[in-house]
Amino acid sequence: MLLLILQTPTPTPMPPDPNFHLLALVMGWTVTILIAAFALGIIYKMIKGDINLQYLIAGADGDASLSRFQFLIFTFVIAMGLFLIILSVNPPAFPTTIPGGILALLGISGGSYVTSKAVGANATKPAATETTVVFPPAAATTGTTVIVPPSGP
Amino acid sequence: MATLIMFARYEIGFLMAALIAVVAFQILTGRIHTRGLLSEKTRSGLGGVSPARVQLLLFTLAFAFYLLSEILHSHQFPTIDTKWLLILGGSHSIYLGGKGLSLFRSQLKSNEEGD
Repeated sequence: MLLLILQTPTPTPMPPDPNFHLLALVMGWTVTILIAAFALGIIYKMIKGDINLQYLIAGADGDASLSRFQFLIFTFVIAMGLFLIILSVNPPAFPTTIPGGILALLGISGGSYVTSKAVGANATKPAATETTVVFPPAAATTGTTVIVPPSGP
Repeated sequence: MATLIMFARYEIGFLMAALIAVVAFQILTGRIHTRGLLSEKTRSGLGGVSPARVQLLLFTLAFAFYLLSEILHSHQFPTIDTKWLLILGGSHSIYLGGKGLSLFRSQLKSNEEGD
């Protein structure tokens, strides 16, 4: 039995099909050109002003937010770093590991952004003394609208 | 295939540089709003310059340059020391604590005015 297994010829690797290489090349060029066209279109629209970046780092109140600005900077730095790392090897390859410190950095930045947003949302909520209660609801009224002012001291 | 790899390399490099340049140019020319980036925010509007925001901005820029220089030097993501992460966390805590405190103060003030 063992002899039979040993005598079985090992399958020889098939020679690469030249058509497959051509297909890979065509697909590669198509995807590369498509990505370039989309990206150029987006950048052109940004420059022209069709894509409005006015509130890119602004919070809900319209003023600039430091958390968003920091998130933007870290995103650019990490993206640029990743690009440089991928290009530093030949052929270009994605890094095998991303250190936990980098993920923690983005996590802290993102967490701070979310917390800041929560604090800001709480701040824009009107105080209890500013609340005006309208009863019954305006949509449901057919006659007189009764407005109940907040009960003050 | 080598031509395709080289083309993709230049393409991504150019597009990323163009994107960063567009955003940086619009920030510098004021098309992207930066009003109130370093100001304290209260319920009544923008206050004075907040030290907590200034320290966070300086720390962010310093850390971004450090990270970029390390990547350029070693061609891999650096292992970030825990003390750097602690400083970053502390810096954020100061910023968020300051923000919360100033909002709490202005809320108290507006409540008093309402009374």
